[in-house]
Amino acid sequence: MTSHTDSIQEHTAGHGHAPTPFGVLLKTFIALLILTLLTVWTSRIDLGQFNHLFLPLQVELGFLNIIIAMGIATLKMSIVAAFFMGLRYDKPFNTLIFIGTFLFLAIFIVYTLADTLYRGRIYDDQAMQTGFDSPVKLDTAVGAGHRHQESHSMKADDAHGVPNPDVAEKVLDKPEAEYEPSGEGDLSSQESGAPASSDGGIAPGSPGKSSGDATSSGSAADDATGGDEAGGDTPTDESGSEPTPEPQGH
Amino acid sequence: MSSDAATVKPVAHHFDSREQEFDAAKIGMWFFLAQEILFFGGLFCAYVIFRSWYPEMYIEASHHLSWKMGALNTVVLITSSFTMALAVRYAMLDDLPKLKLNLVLTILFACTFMVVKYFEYMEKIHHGLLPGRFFTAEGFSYDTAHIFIGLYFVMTGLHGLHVLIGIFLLVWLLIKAQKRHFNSDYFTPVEITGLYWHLVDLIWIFLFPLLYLI
Repeated sequence: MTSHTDSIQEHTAGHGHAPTPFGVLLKTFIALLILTLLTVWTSRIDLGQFNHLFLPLQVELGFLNIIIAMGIATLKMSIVAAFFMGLRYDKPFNTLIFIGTFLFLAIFIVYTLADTLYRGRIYDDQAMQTGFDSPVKLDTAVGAGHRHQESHSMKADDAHGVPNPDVAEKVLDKPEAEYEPSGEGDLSSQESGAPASSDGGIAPGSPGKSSGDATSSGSAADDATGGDEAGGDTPTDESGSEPTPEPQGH
Repeated sequence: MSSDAATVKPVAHHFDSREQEFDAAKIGMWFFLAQEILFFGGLFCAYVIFRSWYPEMYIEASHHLSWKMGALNTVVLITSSFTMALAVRYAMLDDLPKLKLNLVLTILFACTFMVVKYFEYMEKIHHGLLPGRFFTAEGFSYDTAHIFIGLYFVMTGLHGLHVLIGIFLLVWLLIKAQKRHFNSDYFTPVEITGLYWHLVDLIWIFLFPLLYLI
């Protein structure tokens, strides 16, 4: 760095900072390439294989992958901002603007999540949260697949909501019935008639206690049981029986 | 230098000095970049919300993206950031040929990025992996997959638009450099366009793992 102090003296006369030395830029570039390799590599491997001590990890490894990928991305961002964008040599106020932005971004995302993650605790009427016609044709080879009601986190509801005993029995009797679009008719409005009665069904307004929770952990089981439900992929399913905070208007 | 002085923009009358003018332009650019981060932040927020609702769907749908193309584009964009940083350095050092060389290299890498992106988009369109109701691909086990594809197209599309704008800005810089509008005393457009270009790189640094690698 001493070699370029001359140029600092030379150039700070007119400007806030001296030209960043070539070596620093080159090292930054190489570091970014290495970090890119690292983030690709860590995402392609199963991190569990490094658990040589067989630690009983409480976090899912997929979650660990996200943490690592975001950590590397943040490190790369810091390097780019410090050296390519010159914040390291710049007036501190510009750094303040940059870091302050992420503070506001964090407020934005955290407050939004405070809504979307806990909507299930607020709406008793699950129909308010559900219902869009998905254009996705599910893979019938693996069964009825996973409807949008399943994977989002309504676990909060299990601890909170009051289960309808009738519905709970129905679900226990025939867990796969939740995928049947005609199934809900026989309890809700008696409109759909014959096919509903043979299939059984569950009532709309049920937060999907047992079924909703099981699907988040046991999607493989759904594949197995859902094999005969191949017809259930029509997007006309109103799915009042299953909770989704999906906004309307898709 | 003295011959350049005629073409180099003089200090605007409302600034005391060249340095004050430079710092004011730079602070303005940083506030603009802050706005850009928050602008993209809306999309990142949408990404986080849907990911919190449908984590398994994200993993399945992201496997339909080509992580190799994403990684290639990451390397291309990082390299372009490096040449851009070199361009700023050589502008400050009054090295006009190297400034122009690095601007040209940056433009070429930016175009490479867009070409890779073009092939990537064509492949998605060919397979019917399109946002919303245009989604016609089959073989998914989650019926929310179109949401991920929609986020993919909007996030990378908005980023690609920024790359295109960056290419125009870089061409403009190259023309101005050719007309000898820059010297070590005045290179503000090079500096703040460089900041913009690095921000485009920064956003891609986050888009790449979030969309391709999960």
